[in-house]
Amino acid sequence: MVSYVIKRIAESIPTIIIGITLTFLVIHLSPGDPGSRFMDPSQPSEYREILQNRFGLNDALHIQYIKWLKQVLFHFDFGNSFYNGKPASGMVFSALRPTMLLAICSLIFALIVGIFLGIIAAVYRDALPDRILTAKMMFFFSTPSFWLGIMLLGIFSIKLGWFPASHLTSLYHDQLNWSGRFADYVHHLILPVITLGLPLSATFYRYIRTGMIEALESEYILASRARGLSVSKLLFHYSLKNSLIPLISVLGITIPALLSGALVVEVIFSLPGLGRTMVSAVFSRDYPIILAASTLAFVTVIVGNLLADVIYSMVDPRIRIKTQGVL
Amino acid sequence: MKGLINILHSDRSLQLGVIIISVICLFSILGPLLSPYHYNTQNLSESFQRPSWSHPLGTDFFGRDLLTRLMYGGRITLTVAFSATLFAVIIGTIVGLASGFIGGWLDRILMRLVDILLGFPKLFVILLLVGMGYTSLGLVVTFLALFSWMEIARIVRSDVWVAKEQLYVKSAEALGLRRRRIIFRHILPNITGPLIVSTVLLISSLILIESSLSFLGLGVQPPNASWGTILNEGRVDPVGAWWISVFSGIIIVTCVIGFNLIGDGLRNILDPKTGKKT
Amino acid sequence: MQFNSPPLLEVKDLCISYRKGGISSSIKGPVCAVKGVSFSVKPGETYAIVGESGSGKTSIAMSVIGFLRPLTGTIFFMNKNIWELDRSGLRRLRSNIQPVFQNSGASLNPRMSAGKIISEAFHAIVDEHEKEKALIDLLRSVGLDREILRRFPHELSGGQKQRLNIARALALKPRLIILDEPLSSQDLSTRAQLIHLLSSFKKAYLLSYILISHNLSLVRLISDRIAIMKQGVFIEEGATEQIINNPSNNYTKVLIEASNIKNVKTG
Ligand SMILES: Nc1ncnc2c1ncn2[C@@H]1O[C@H](COP(=O)(O)OP(=O)(O)OP(=O)(O)O)[C@@H](O)[C@H]1O
Ligand SMILES: [Mg+2]
Repeated sequence: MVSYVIKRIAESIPTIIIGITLTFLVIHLSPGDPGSRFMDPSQPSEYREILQNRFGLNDALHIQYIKWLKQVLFHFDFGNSFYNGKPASGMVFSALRPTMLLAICSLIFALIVGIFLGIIAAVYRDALPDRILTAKMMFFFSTPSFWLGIMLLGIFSIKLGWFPASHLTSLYHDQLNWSGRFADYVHHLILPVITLGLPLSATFYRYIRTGMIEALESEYILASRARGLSVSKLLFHYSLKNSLIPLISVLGITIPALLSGALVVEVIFSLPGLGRTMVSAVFSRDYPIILAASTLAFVTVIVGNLLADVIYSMVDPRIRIKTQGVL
Repeated sequence: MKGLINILHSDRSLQLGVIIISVICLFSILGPLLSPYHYNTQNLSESFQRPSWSHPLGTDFFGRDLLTRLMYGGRITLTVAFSATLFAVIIGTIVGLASGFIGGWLDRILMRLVDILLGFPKLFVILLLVGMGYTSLGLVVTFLALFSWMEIARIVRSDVWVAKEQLYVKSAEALGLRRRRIIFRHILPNITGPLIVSTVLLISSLILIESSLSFLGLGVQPPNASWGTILNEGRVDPVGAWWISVFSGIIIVTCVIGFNLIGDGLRNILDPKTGKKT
Repeated sequence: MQFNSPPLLEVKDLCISYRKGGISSSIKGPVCAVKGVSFSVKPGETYAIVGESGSGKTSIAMSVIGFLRPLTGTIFFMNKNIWELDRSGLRRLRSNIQPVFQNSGASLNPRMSAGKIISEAFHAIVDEHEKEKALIDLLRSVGLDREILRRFPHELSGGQKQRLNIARALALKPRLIILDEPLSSQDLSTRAQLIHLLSSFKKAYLLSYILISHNLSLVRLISDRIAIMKQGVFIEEGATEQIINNPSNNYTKVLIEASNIKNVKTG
């Protein structure tokens, strides 16, 4: 298992390098330069030169790249923000926390909702509950999170005023005791988590429903039923376990989508996360921040994928044999 | 033709999906021709009007008729989604065929590439590209396609693996037919079913991605407007001018549901095992 | 028959193993389907390989037509080692050696009409008129009606499918045809017709056959030599009459008894 994890990490290094190299090239080869953004057009053009020099943008591209890569790899230094001069790595890392909080809560929410409803639909297959749920889930599956977000924001935050419309915490967050802080988080996160989690739960619902139906119909379940095992035990012990396995394999694919979704949700609910940092950095051409944020996004996805694969191989013995064979 | 009608009748969700999509297509293609308004003519005296007889879905900040804008936006959204899907399917099919049929080191390289690209958070990357100034409609389509062909390639590849071992393909090979002919005459026609299903589902996911981008202000740029752009305009005041976000959202959701229904229906017909029994 | 001429096909020490990736490989190691088989086929000869199910007959056939790379051993066809040819070399050789696979239905593309399937085999003929004529001649010779050309494989009977397969194999005028259980799925009268058909082609085109079967009684009617195969090895090989009348191996005796050949002979 350990060697498998090492192998996977080694495999993912080229992915990260290719990703950040492409990002670097895209940024530096694109039309327009940050210098002119900061500059008052009335100022002399030498001023622009000075700015460009200060940002290190006047060197040849490959020199810039090598310098940058060295700093990143050996000092974990992505440079400083063009705007406020703070280290990009620090800014991006502090933005990662809200994103992770949002993503993980949404994932858990989606799993609970998806699995629970999936079981109900499978048990009442083709009866009324299944038909209603399947139609509802089709709706959520097809609903873009940004629309769901705006609707929730409009109704519950702006119109009814039940939930805050922005930020992860209240201003007085630090003065609360831990239970108060927790409640504060929940209060701020409920709408974003529903927005990000509900469409995702529809995906999980589909997998669980099909998996459960297949499992419930399999000969081995029928045989156990004939042997008089209780239905609820069968349901949770055998069928669910078997239908969870494909779900874990989709988890890997879900992670990049989750991060992309979080980006939109952060913009709608003004959460200070990675996605929002990225969007505003892109609009303002803050190169170090863009690079740091995309690098972090790649790494997060890869780590998430790795975790999903490790869990998968722990759950499904067939995969474990295969990986042993490969190694 | 008769076969087509029979297929339509065999699955309820397919039927419903086809109806929804046909209506939306007609709405987008014919609508702007019939509407008395122009999608982009501003009339500030009619700014933010509620739905009424003269503007059934209300107006936006610039006093433009929302219904007309949505019809026009449909053209852009569907054009972007269809053309990006087309490119993605072409790329994915070629890569999948090459990977599956030729195999060996080519297969390893291509599948590694697929893995790498699948690992990218799509929205981050496209956002970066568009945000860096590559904003023309053609480029947006290109970026969408470049980051969407991988699933298709995987499906095609695994189907080719199966098809390649079929005896009728072996027989064709034994006749000494050229590779190209074997691929296009014997393998491709026999894997079109799953390919069509994933194509339809890709259209719906591309509509969603394009809308997200435009919603962030980084997809289709004014004066062009896709449904996502219009929804973004409604974000200014989701309560006061609710009709903008509500109606533009509804049409996106309906359209995506339509394509998903078609995809599901086709899947049920092609592979009755995973779908509901009829 | 040109029994003194050099062999058309020469197989030496053929070993075939299936090493499917993944689960089975890591547990069991390679599965040896064929172990050290050698034989040769002369021009105009019918060579039969008889053996029980799973003995490795199809695997040999697949190697000989270039679909299954052998682990070790050489296969010379028309004096060329087929596993050392490059892709285009192999493609050129292909028209001389044609398979008729065990599963006649699966060998026909379900999305092509019978006419398309057959005319594809005439890919060497460019002239449409000439192609049409060759096609009709061929159909008549295998006893198929012109009318079936419009039909798709699923609309044909088992016998018709098999004839179509045979016709396709004959179209290129090959030197060697490998018939894998060509008769097992046919009823008795069709069998007789097909056997007659095959022998007539053999004379007309100076064809060689490799005839694969598990049924000794059918094989002996048209084969010149027979090899008995069991668990991946040839346990006996010889002229047909010698094998039938003077089997040296116990397993061969069992096979002969099982197929009631003695009964046929005496009664
Ligand atoms: N694709 C494959 N992968 C793994 N093993 C295989 C494969 N094909 C055949 N085998 C194994 O190789 C051995 C020989 O198979 P082969 O198909 O050559 O037998 P056969 O003599 O043609 O049998 P039959 O009369 O049933 O057609 C068998 O043990 C079989 O299980
Ligand atoms: Mg066989």
